[in-house]
Amino acid sequence: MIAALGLLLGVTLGLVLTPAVPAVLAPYLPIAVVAALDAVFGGLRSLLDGIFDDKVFVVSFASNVLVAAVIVYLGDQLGVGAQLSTGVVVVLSIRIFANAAAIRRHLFKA
Amino acid sequence: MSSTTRPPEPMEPSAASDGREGAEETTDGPDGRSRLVAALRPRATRSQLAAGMLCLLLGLGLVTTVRDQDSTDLSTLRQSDLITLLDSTSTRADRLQGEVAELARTRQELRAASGDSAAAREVARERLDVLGILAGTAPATGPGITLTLSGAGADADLMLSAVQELRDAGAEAISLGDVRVVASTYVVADPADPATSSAEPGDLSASAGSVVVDGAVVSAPFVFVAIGEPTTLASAMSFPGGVLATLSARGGTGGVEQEDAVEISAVREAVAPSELVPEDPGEGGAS
Repeated sequence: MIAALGLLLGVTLGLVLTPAVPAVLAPYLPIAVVAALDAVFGGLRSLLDGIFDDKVFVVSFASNVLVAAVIVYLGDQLGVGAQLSTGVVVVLSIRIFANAAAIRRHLFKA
Repeated sequence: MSSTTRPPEPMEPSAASDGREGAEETTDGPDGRSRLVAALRPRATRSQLAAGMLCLLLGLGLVTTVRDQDSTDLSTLRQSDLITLLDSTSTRADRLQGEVAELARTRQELRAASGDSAAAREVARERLDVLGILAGTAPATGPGITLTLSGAGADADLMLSAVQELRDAGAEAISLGDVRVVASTYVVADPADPATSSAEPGDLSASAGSVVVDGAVVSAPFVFVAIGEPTTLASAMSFPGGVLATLSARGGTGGVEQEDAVEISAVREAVAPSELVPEDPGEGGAS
């Protein structure tokens, strides 16, 4: 519940404050958001699995975001930024789909 | 691992109980739903707060990213994207440059063409002047000769020969007496002239007192005024077998004078064509 409230609050804050993204971080924010989405779906799944652990959730959230950003940054430095970010997005999407499938099985038994 | 204490030392009560249940029944629908319902109950536990904070961050990032994507700014693009953009932009610039060059060339051509048409108009005006002189509709002055023919043998035939020779020699304007000589000019013997009417046909020594030029009677001595290169015109009159030689052979007298400036004031009215229709592609047809 608090998580849902937090999400809503975050969206509202973003809409109201319209924070400016630092130019340095701008290329990594989309990837970081996708990684965070993956972490949230993973957390939801673990919640339904009954193995939710806040520490694991926080760490996985932070590490997902960081690793995604670092991979993209590395790709940019190596000159394959576009391809690597595509790869990261693909991997994260697969994970999100898998988590969503697990959540679906939990909620609807299908 | 003791069987009596089933909850294995939970860090946080709800999470620990969830974990225990999940460990026992991994994929159970009602359990999953009940866990979700349980999690939906607002409790100020640490896990709820942490999840709430992170979800807040996620929402913030999501909205910010969406907004960022809406306002496409070059500063948010990465290097490869910028290079691609630069490439396409420079390609486009090249293409536009080529187009500019082509259009400039077309403009140059059109400008030259309009200059050509101005020149053509100028030429046409000059031709109009020349043709006006040739057609006899305009008085003319210029260097030329005065040819005088009289005496025996100075008949209409000789006049025609003289006109022909003068034209051949490049005379631009000719008058005979008070009559302007043009393309349609005819010279015939004057039927009222007693010398010609009494003379036998073919008598070359017959002297004409007058001839009819374009319907006007011109009396001897017959004076031609011709504008053109004086030397050329004079020699065209006086070469062996020419007009003057023929005339003197027949017993007549004639002379040619070269002058720096002669004046032909006799004009002829331009006759509007009654039958022919000038072809004018610009105006479809004549009414």
